Amino acid sequence: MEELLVYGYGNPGCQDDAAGVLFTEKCEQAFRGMPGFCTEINYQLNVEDAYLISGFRSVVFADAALPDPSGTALPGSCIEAIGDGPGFFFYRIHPAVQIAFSTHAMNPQSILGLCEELYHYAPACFMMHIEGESWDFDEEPTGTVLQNLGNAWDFFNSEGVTLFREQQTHI
Amino acid sequence: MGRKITIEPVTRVEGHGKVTIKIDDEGKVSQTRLHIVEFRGFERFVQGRPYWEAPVLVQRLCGICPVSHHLAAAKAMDVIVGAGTGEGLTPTGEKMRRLMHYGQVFQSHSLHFFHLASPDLLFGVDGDPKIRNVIGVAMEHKELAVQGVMMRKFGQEIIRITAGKKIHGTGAIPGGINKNLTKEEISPWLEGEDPLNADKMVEWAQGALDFFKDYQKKNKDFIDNFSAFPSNHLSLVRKDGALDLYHGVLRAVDSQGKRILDDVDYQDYLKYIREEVKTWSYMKFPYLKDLGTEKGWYRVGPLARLNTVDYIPTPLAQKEFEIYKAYTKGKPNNMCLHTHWARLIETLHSAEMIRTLLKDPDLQGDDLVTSGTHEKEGVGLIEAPRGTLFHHYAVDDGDLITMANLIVSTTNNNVPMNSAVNIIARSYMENQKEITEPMMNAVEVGIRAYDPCLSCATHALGKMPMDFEILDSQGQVIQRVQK
Repeated sequence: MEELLVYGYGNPGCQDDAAGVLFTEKCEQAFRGMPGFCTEINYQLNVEDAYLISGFRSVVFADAALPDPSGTALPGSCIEAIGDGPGFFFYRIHPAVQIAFSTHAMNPQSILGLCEELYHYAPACFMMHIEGESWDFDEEPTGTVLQNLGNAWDFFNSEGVTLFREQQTHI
Repeated sequence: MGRKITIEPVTRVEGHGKVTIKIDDEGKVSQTRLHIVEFRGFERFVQGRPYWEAPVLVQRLCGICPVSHHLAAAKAMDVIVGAGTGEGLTPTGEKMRRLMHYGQVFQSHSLHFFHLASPDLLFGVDGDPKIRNVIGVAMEHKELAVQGVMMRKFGQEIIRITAGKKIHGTGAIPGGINKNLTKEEISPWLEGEDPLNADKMVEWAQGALDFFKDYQKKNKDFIDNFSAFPSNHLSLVRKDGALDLYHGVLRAVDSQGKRILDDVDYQDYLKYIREEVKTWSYMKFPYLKDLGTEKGWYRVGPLARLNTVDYIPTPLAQKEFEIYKAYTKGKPNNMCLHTHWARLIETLHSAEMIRTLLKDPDLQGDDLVTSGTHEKEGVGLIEAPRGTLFHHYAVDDGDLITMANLIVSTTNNNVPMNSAVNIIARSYMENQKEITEPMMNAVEVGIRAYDPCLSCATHALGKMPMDFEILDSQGQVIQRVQK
């Protein structure tokens, strides 16, 4: 079984929707060659990803998100929060009880739920959400999302990795 | 006072759709509409871009069926670079594209049947919505769900090896393809470890088809009568009348099987097809020009294709096609839920095609691209999983795109989907004191049979359809984010 999968999804042709893919590319550059480390990117998640994540001990999904209007990405009461900062939030996810399933895409919780059901195994899964602001047909991300991406990466590359490893030990 | 029922969004349908059903004081359905309320802007966006960018650019339209747009745009650009209209490519170029396309159809059809249609079939339209989904299928019918996952994965892997990468693939280029396939690249999918190989995919596709036929026998009334209505049917067919999802000529038949369009070169599609605009939807309403808006609308997709073609050029799918045609005594099939039957026959055909193509030595050829005298305008058509997909471009002397017109499969099915909503609403909701979830799901089942991709159909600009929830320890929603 492999150790860690970082999986970014979104459409890089739609400006800030690229955030998850860009985050994954940063991870790839930084951790390339590390035993048991893999990355994956796609437009969106789908059923076959349940099979993919069944081969890993831990998975970090990375995706873009709308800014939270309240200004608080993760409320303090959310015990699953691992970390948040300007323009990003990082938290643990669990298998979905009820799934939201559009015609052709699934959310990470549903992927995890399907994995658990089909393969009787659920890796430790985490979500990195990076806030964007513009989603037009353009390959150029906004300055805002790049700033947020930098914040997310700084967190993940320092304390995020540590915190995430601590979480793993409690699985 | 009459009531107005709104179902928004239509679940398990990509993009943002909204169904409104008006019921008058007597409890009768007075109006039904499937609204598409997103802004359409992609056709303007590509203007001013170099033509050779189009096959990659159009994949931004939709993360659902990027391969279909990629290939339709590439076929249009083949015309622009003088490489002909689908028949002028080198054998390697054409077969690589076909393999990519059949991989796309195989994975898309598999996903639709196993994870979108089967929950409604296995648990019923009125089944508990908590389990009427793919995880419910996994809990109750694990083998079926596992097969669906692996079939989808197989198709995605075929796309990956032919398109080069999962996002913004560059496999097809104007006039051909940018890579071939080595035997080493092919081997895992042709003779690889069970179950991810072509033989197993054929076997499972046949199994899914057998499952559906058995289900249909046991639930004949539901499958045959749910939202059945007569219509015209349109698709590409090969010159000799065979099913061909990659290239051919346009053919349309009416509800009785009479050919109302035949052997039409799709470069001339504007002579035969028009699009009507209505104030309440951003999605247009295509129709056959000679028949007008009232009588000229048509269906596209698996049901339509098996109504227009004469035969299927792979043995197992042909055998199933004969059984399928015999059920309607050779006449066109107008039964909405038989779309699933047709889709599974095409799934089997796609698996057979993939297996055949993987064995073809032309995939190792080095002659990848062809060209000729440049043209100023080109049309590319393909039979995408959901139906006929039109891409039409014009370029100027500087090779920049000056015009783009796209008619996507879901747009072609606009009137049929609206008809389905109307028929189902009348059947399920008239004279009912209470409109229940199963009644609304019945409407969605009718729409889902067409496997619509609304983000694609509207070429939506702006927000992407993404949303998620953060739960507290008690499972309560404490934050909801949409994008």
